Amino acid sequence: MEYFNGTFDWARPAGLWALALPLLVLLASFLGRRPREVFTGTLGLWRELETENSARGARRSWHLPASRYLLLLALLSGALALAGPRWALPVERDTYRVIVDRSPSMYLPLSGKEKGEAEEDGGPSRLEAAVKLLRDYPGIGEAQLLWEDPTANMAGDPVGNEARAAGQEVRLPRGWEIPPERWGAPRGEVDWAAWDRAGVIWLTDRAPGLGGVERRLAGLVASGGAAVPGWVAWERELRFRWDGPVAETVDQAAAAQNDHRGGPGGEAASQGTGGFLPAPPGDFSASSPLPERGALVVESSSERPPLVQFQNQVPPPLRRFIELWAQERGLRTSGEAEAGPRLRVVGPRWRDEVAVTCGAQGWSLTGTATRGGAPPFPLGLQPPGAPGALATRLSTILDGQPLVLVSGAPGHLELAWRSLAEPLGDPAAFAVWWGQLLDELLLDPPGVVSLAERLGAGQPLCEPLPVAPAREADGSGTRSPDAELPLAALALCSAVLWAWRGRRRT
Amino acid sequence: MSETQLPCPGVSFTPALLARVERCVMRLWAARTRREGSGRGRLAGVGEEFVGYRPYRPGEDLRRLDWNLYARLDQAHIRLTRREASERWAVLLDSSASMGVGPPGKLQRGAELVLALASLGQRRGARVRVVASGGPAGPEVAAPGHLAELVAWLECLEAGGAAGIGSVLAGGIGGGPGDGSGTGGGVPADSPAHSRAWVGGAGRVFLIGDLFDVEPARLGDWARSRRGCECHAMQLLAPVEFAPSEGAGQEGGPGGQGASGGLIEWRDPESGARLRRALALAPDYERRLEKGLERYQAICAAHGLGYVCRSTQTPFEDILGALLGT
Repeated sequence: MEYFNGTFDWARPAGLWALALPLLVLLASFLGRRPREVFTGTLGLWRELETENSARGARRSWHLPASRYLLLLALLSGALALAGPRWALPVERDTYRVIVDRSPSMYLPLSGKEKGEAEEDGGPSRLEAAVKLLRDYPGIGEAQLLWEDPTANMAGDPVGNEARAAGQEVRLPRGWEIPPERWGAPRGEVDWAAWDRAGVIWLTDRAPGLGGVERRLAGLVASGGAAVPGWVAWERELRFRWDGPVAETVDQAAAAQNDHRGGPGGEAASQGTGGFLPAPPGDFSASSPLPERGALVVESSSERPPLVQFQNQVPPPLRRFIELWAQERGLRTSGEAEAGPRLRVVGPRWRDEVAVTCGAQGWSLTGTATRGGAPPFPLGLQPPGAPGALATRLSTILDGQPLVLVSGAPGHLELAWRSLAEPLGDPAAFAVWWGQLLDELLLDPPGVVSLAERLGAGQPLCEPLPVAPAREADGSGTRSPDAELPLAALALCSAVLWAWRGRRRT
Repeated sequence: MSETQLPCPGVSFTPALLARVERCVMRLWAARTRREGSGRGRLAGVGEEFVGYRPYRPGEDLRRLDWNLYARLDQAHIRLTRREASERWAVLLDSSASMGVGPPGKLQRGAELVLALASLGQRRGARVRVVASGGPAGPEVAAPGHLAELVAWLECLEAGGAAGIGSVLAGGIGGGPGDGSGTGGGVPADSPAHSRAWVGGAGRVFLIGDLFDVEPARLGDWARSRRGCECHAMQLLAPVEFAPSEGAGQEGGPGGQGASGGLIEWRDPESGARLRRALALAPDYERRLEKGLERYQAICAAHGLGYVCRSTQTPFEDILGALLGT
C-alpha cells in the first residue's frame, strides 16, 4: 500500500484516448434508448393509473442491462490497461533552479571564429557550451532541474519555465533556441541579484560579478568564450563592423584609459566616423584580464534597405509619421508582404469601431478604434504557450474595461485605431514618443549584435552551490508492480462474459 | 390498425397439437359418460332428446324413472334420451386485433378451445358452428370429417380489426333457443344472417375471447336474454396482460425490463393508441385487473353463465377442464 502514498502516472498516456470508447458506448446506450413497445388489450387500465401515479410512472430509469455494464467494464479496464497505470514511491531529490542568461552573447559561437557573416556556423554557441558544462555539475544527474528564463516575457520568445525530471539528460528545453534574426532583439537585463538564492544556478557566459553583482548563495556555470568580431551597428546604408580584439599590455591599457574613442589604428579612426569601445568594466590590475579593444570598420552596404511593412489599414496620420520615420532611418516601407521585415506595423484586425481619445506626454489622438483593441500577441504568429508576447504600450478605459490601442514586441507593432484625426498637443512630444517606440521595436538586421555582447567572456567557470538545494519529492522512485496485467485480465473476463451472455440470449 | 406486426396474429395447428385435442376430447367424453351414470352431468339441459321408454331394471338410477307413466300404468319405465342429438352449439370466437397479443397468442389458444369444443360437440351428436367476430362463420361441424375443414378455417384466421365479442353480441345475435330454428333456408351458410339464426337457435353458446369490449353488466343482460340456453364465457388474457411484471419480459423485443429502463410504451392493438408507463406500476395494475375480473365472475355466477378466466399460458385442456368441471 505504500505505493499509493507515492506518485501516480501512466506508462502510455496516449492510451487514455481509448477511454473515449466506453464513454461513447455509455452515451449511445442512453441516447439511443427508447421505451420498448408492448401490445396489450388492457390499455384502459394503464391509462387509469396515469392520474394516480403519473410521477412514478413517467420516471425515467437509468438502469442498463447487465450485459451493457459488462461491455463497459471490459472497455474501461482495457483502456486503462492500455494506458498502463503506475505508482512510484516518493523520493526526495535535490532541486536546482537554472537561471538561463539568454542575452544575444549566449548565441554567439564559443570559438569566436566567424565564418563569413554567419556566426551560427562558427561551432557551438556559448549557451550550448554552458549547458554542456552544467551536465558535469556536481550532483546534477540525480537532481531535478527547473529551467527559468527571467527575460522571456520581455522578448516575446516562445518559452516559459520548464522542468526536467531526475535522471533525464541535461539539455536545453525544446524551443529555447531562437533564430539568428532575433539574436539582436533587445531583451531585459537579468536581475541577477534577485536570483542569488539557495539552489539556484546561474547559467551564463561570464560571471555577472563583473557587473557589480555579488553572488553569495547561487551556483555558477559560465561558458566563457572568445570575443566574436562582426557587425555591431547599422545606420542607413552603412554598417559598422568590429574587427576583433587586439592584445594589449596592462600599460597599454592604462594608457588607453583616457582614450576610449577608437582603438589602435583601424578604418574607423581614419574615416572619422567615431569608432568606440565601452569603458573597461570593473577594476583590473596587472593580473586581471585585459579589456578588449579593436577597430570599428565602417562599410557601405549594397543590400536593399531594410523593410518596414504595413499590414491592414493603418490610419493616415500615423502611417505618414511612420513613413517619415522610416525615411529618416533609411528604411523602405511597403504594404506588400516580403520576407524578413525589420518591423511589421499591423492595423486594426476587426471592423467594428468605437470613438476613443487617448494620448501621452503632451499629445493626444482622437479617432475610432476596434472594440477588440490590439491583440495581446501577433495573430497567426503566436507560438504555443507564449506568455503575452506583445507588451501594451498605450491603452485607455472604455466602458470600464481597458482597451489596448498600441501594443508591441521587437519587430512587431499592433495598432487598434481605425481612423484618426490630426494629433493634438505638442507635435514634438508626439514625434519623440512614437519615434522612441519605433526605434525600440525595430529589429537589427541578422548578424548585428552589440559590441558589448561580442566581447570575450573569458574562461569557462563552474562554481558549486555554497548552500545545499531544497529537496522535493518527485515520482521517479521505485515503480510498483505493473497494474496492466490485472486490468487486462479483467477486461478479458468481462469481454468473455459479455459475449457469453449475448450468445445465450440469441 | 398499425404498421407494426402483432406478436401472435395467426393460428397454427401442429400434428402434436391435434393429437392433444383428440386426447382431451376423449378424456372429456369419458368423464361425461361417467358423470351421466351418476346423473351429475353438467351438460344435461335443453339439448336432451327423448327417444322412448324401456322397463326399469333393478339397480338403475331411480331419478331416471318416469313417474307420470308409473302413475298411469303402474309400471316402472325408464326414460330413454339421446343426449345432444340434433342439438346446436354455437362457438363465438373473438378475432379482433387484441387477440393477437401474446405469446402465447390469445387467438391461438382460443382456436384450440374452439377445435376441442367442436370435436366434443360432434362426438356428442351436436351440430357445431363457429362464428368469428368480424368475419364469416366457420363450417358446420356435424361429422368427424368436418373437423379437418374447421382446422383449415381456423388456420386462416388472423387477428385484426376492432370488432370483438361485444360487436357480435350487439349485432342482434341473441334471443331464446327456440327463436331461430330455421337455420337458414335459402340463406348462405356463412352469411351474418345465418350466423345470427344459428346462434339464436343454439342450445349451447360458448364465448371465447378477452371480453375487454363487453362490460360485465352487458354480459349479464345477454345471459338473461338467453334464458333456457346454456352459455359459457371463456376469458383469455395474455401473460403480459395478466401479470405485466412477468409477461413483459416475454414480449417480443430485446431484453426485459433492463433494455428500456423499466419504461414501456404500451400499445393498444386495435386503436393504435400508445401510453408510456413504467413497469413499476404493475402491482397497481394487477390489483385493478383483479377487481375487474371479480366483477365478471360475479355477474356470470348471478346469471348462470359458465365462466372461466385464464392466462394463455394455461393449456387449453386445463381451461376446458375448469369450464366443464372435469
